Amino acid sequence: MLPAILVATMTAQAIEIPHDQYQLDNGLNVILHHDDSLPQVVVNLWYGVGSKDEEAGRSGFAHLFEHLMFMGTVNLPDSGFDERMEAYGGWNNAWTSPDATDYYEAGPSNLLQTFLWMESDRMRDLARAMTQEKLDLQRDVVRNERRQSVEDTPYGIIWEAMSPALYPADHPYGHTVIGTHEDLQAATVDDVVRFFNTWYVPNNASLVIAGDFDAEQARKWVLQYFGEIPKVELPSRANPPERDTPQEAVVETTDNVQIPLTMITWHTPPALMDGDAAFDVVASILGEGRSSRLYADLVTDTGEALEISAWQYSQKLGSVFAVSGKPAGETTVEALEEKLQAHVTRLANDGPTEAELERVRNQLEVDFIGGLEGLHQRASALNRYHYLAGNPAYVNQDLERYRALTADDIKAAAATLTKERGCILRVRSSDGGAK
Amino acid sequence: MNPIWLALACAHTPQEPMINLTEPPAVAAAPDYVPPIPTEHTLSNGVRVWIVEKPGLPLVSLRLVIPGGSASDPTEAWGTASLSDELLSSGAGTRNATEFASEVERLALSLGSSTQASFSTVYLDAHTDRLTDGLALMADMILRPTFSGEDVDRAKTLRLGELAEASDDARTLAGWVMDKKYFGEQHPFGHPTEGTLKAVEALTAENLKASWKARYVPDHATIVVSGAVETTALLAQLETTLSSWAKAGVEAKTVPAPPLHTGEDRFYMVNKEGTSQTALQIIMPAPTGLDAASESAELGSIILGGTFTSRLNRLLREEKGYTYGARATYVGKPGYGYLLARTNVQKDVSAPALKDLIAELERYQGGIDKVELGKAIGSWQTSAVSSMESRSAIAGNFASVAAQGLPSSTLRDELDRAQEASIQSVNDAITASQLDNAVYVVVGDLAEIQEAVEAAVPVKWTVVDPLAN
Repeated sequence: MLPAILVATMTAQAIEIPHDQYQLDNGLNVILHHDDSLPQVVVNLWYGVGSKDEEAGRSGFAHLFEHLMFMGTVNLPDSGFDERMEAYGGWNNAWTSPDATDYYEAGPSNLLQTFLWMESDRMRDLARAMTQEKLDLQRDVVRNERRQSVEDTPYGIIWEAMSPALYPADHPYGHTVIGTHEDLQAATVDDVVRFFNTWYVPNNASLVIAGDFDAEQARKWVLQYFGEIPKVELPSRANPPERDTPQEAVVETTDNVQIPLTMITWHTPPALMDGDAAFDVVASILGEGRSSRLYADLVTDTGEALEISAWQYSQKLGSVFAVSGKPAGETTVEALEEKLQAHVTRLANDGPTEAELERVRNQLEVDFIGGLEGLHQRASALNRYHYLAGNPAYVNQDLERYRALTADDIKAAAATLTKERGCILRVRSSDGGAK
Repeated sequence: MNPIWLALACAHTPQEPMINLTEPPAVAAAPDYVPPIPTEHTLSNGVRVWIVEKPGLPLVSLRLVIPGGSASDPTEAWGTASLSDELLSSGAGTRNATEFASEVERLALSLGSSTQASFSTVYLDAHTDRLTDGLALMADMILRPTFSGEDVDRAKTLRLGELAEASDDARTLAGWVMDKKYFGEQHPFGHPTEGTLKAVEALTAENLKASWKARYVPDHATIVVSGAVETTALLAQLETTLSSWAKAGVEAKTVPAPPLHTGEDRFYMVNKEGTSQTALQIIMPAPTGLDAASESAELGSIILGGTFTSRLNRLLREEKGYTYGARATYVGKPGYGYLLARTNVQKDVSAPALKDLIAELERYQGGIDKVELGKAIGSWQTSAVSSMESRSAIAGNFASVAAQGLPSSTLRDELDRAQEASIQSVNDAITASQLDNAVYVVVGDLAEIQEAVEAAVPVKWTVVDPLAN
């Protein structure tokens, strides 16, 4: 067979994840990616609903609902979804983001039919088996997830603290995926049923089958299991409210940590849109690796920071660019912020060097190729590009966005960050430590 | 719609048979899978080389494993090996720290080191076009690190910051206390790999350089490579690059087994104010990695806490809702083995959760059933397949095998033995892990949980400070 990803030379990588794409009459998008190098199969079912679609007072609900998807149906009650899958060597998981919810199963290739039956069964009929007991149980689990990942993880609160400053209260991204205890406790079984009937419909989903399987047989199973699930008209989504400009908030908060942290964020273009790739490169030049500008200056040379980072968090409705650092020694968070801002300004004024562009291009290419090495990663990428670009084959051309960037593009992107001081978050020790 | 034996296919393709939508389909036999065995070679300086050729993507992953690890730290100088390893890429050959990083990152290499309790790893992930350059830089790391005073001072400052940050996490504190109490303060595994605040503060460039010099010898080193390489050419390249790395004639060291805990001093609490959850950890002896029962012990741990539907997760998460997850892990190495059960529970249920955890471990002593065994074997097989997907995973898995001095066929042999395991063999392995010999650690806000925990589990609890020394 041909390798799943074909790569030519380093100077002009030709990446291809071969796949077939089609739609059922009910709108379910289907993507088949064959790779028989190992006797395994992955099913990835992506629903176009995330925390951005939650109603007021129900923050965390999309993620809570994700948990409820594993609580059984009439046909496969209680913990049957996981029990049956694991009985034959399969495993599964899911994640929820502001934009989407993604479910995936992996296991030996003989489990494909089982995976498809299970996913179609809960897409068709989850609501009929929903109970208050299930909701209460998973509410407790999710609240413990919140305690573990937000409240008891050092700096776990940063996005919860930052979101109100970044977005208007009624913005789809104005709250975190995990939600608040209060909102989680307010969720009802009626909410669950309504959410399911609204969003968990075939025309809001995309199914990837990847791995060692017979394509003709897979198409039959997909049609048989999913084909009669009815299409439902999706609600129209209002445009998100405009944010305040210029955006120059300072948020002070505390956490159970010894070392303070500062983070500066700016709004940037949506995922895959013009400018998005340039900010990935800006982030890399500023903060990726020990030779990056922030690390070389603030950690290695001056010792003013213990840690720095920069990243572009790409999202469907609009992205966020961030730089952050933890001050060392007598350096204050305010002083560190000035240094971080100064580096952004310098990049905006002078642009990147050729050496920096070479480094970033090389790193992006290797990271991109390496990131598609696993079957699960490829399945997820196909669905992600289908969701964001409307075309899974975009995975084959995405690197071109980066290859086409010039020094002037990077300079221009950095320059937009200097027009506002951004939203600043300062996390200090709840023990009242200095700095 | 209430779909019962709906003839879906008839609506679209009349020749298709009916399909049952209400019952799960039958599952055919799982496909066979046989893990690869690396080809074995030896360089002229004695370094073993294991190679798994994996063409396709132009990527290569290399792991150099060196025995020693944090177990080689001199007494009280905890963190020596780890910080020494960290400094290998902070200036080496003719390049200072920033110049070295610039070259590594210009070439888009992932090149660095990591330290485990019993060995260190130098890792190199590269595009095949840049493997030669990557090997040259790796050789600088292992043969010509500079350990400049400036780099050492910075590395110590950063490490002290990392330790301070780690100590903010209750789970990390639980792990530190567990190592110290289970293995013993003077045991080579009885301290954090990363060191302690006091120990790191006292380390010098001379300490760190001496640690590197003593450990980075080819005598017991192994290089594992996976990727789009040609074996003959790669071996010639390694031979050339490492030609000046001379044997030192050192003997391999073994780590003593931890003590068997039989007395009352097995129950420890740590105060971590302001936490909303309590970390619960219980560790007990288990068959060693060389024991014939090792695979059965591993299967048992999968049943206890290795998958989502495992006993601990099902009880503490899916039935009680006390936690986001509960796990059990078996670690079997030459000379020792242990079973660790752990979870983080909301603090107001710390006492009942601990009682439930103990009760489940007691029930575990009663043995497993056929369904559970089949599930555990299936889980093992699936992991064996997926662990051979990426070049870095392949190299990492075989590096772990090599670091323990086990044969290159180990992954295949272990899978074979796991598939042959029986209920009896797993039950026998389980009985080797006795709660009477377990060490317990509870980390949480003691002002709110201590009284209830002591009432629920009325033993002699000792409150310890994980940051003392």
